[in-house]
Amino acid sequence: MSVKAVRWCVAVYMLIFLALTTWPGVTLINRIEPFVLGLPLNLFLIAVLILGGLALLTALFLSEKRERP
Amino acid sequence: MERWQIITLVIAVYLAVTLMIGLLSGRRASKSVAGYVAGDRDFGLLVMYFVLGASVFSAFAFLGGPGWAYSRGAAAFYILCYGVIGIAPYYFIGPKAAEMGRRHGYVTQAQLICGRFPSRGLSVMIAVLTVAAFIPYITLQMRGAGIVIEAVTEGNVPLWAGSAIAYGIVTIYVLFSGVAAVGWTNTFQGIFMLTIAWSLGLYLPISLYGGVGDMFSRILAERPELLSMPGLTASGQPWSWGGYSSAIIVSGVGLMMWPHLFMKAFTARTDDTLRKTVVLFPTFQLFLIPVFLIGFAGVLYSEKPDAPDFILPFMILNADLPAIVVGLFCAGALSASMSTGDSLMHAAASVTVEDGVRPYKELSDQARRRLIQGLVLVVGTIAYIFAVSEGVSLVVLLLTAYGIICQLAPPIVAALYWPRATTAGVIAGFVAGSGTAAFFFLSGYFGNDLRPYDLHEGFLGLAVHIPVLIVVSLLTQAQPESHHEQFA
Repeated sequence: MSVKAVRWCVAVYMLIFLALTTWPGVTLINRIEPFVLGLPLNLFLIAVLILGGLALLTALFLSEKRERP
Repeated sequence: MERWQIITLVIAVYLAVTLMIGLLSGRRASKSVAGYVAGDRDFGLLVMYFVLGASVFSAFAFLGGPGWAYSRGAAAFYILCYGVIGIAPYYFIGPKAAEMGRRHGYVTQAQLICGRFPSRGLSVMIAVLTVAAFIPYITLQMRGAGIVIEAVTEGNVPLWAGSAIAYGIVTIYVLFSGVAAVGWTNTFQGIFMLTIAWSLGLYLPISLYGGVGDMFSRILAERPELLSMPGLTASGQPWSWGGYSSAIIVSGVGLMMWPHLFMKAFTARTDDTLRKTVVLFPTFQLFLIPVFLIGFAGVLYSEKPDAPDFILPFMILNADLPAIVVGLFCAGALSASMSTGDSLMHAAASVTVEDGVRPYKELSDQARRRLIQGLVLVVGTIAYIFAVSEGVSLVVLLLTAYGIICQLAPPIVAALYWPRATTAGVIAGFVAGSGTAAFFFLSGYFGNDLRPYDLHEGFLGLAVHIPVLIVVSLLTQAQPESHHEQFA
């Protein structure tokens, strides 16, 4: 993927992140059960969203680094 | 030796090590203002990572985070959410600001804004508001340190003495070594805090309930309202979605606009260092989860601490741990307070001199450095007076501070990315936004809350700020191309 495409992915992901953590999107992930890894589902899903952000930012950094001389 | 004496000894050793690192780190830095404020623009990845991370892992996260989870439940999840959306724009803005810093010699945020939008009044306004926002924040950190020390020494070292000792040490190393001390002590303190957050966050649920899942099952059975977002308010009523959502947005926008964080763009050695720091930043959000577990572990505990913010030292003291371990845990909580406080004191003094004094009076490099050092003492003293006087509602002040700080975001974005923005537009937007935020804050403070949908006053401020900035800019004469091209 080109750097531009990855940048768009990051931007879109951040908007999804915002939509899913604020009202009204947050009501979609606001369930307590089932527990995953001992955590309530809503807390676990927030952790997954954070990990996703970490992965995408890493991808962005690596793809930019490849482009630069 | 009595138990509290062993704990005190461990904390004393910890404080001595911090002081030593702080003093040694400044030996290499140059004696210039760029050396004192921007670390000669030579911070590597390890230090940058912990500087940003430790600044976030403040007394608010370490004491307030568990306190929120304990008393307000899922409301605390908002703290997890804003970090990622808050830091992502910095991936682009940070390196660009750093480039401007190298090109034009900036060491503060207001210099960047006022470089593009020349106005001494704007510079002073930003300086005044920044310092006004900083004082309650520093006060909160000092109180946090005092609370921990008082709690673990069973009152043998009272709050005023605990704050004075911890912050006396911070003041000494900030005075001598400037931002280099902030960087290296934060690295040490950051590693310390993370170890403690994880070990205690996992140990407490396991020892008290048999596991994290078992703990949440019991909370679900007895206090289910704590596990569903948006959680509760401080008084135990259900929190509103408007309050919860706008808290995420305001904190996200404000996060990197805190001058002590934004200014670190000018300290990074390379742009790649800055980008890597941003990429790794979300890991700090994950480190907050075990901190919340500490608070949740207290929910079904039969005894109660005096205030929710005391839950961490309270749980530590009641967990039946050896004195040495308790001492280490408390040192970790102190780290959280001190690693943010040092950064804040340093930034508050730097901003006052660079943005509040320098536009009016040309001073030599050496005189400016001296003046900054003098102001570190002044700022520290003012915050200390607040910290030891009762009856000041700090959390309320801090939330308002966020409302002010996030008003710095539109001018920064306009300065770097919008050639058509004008000085008049930026000043009008800033005044209108800050005024709106202050108005809604005061309406709530005097008992007649006018905020629609319980939205955060900073959010309402931004909603006025951005349109005013755009409209006034379009109505006034554009800046000459030769000027805004310097910021492209």
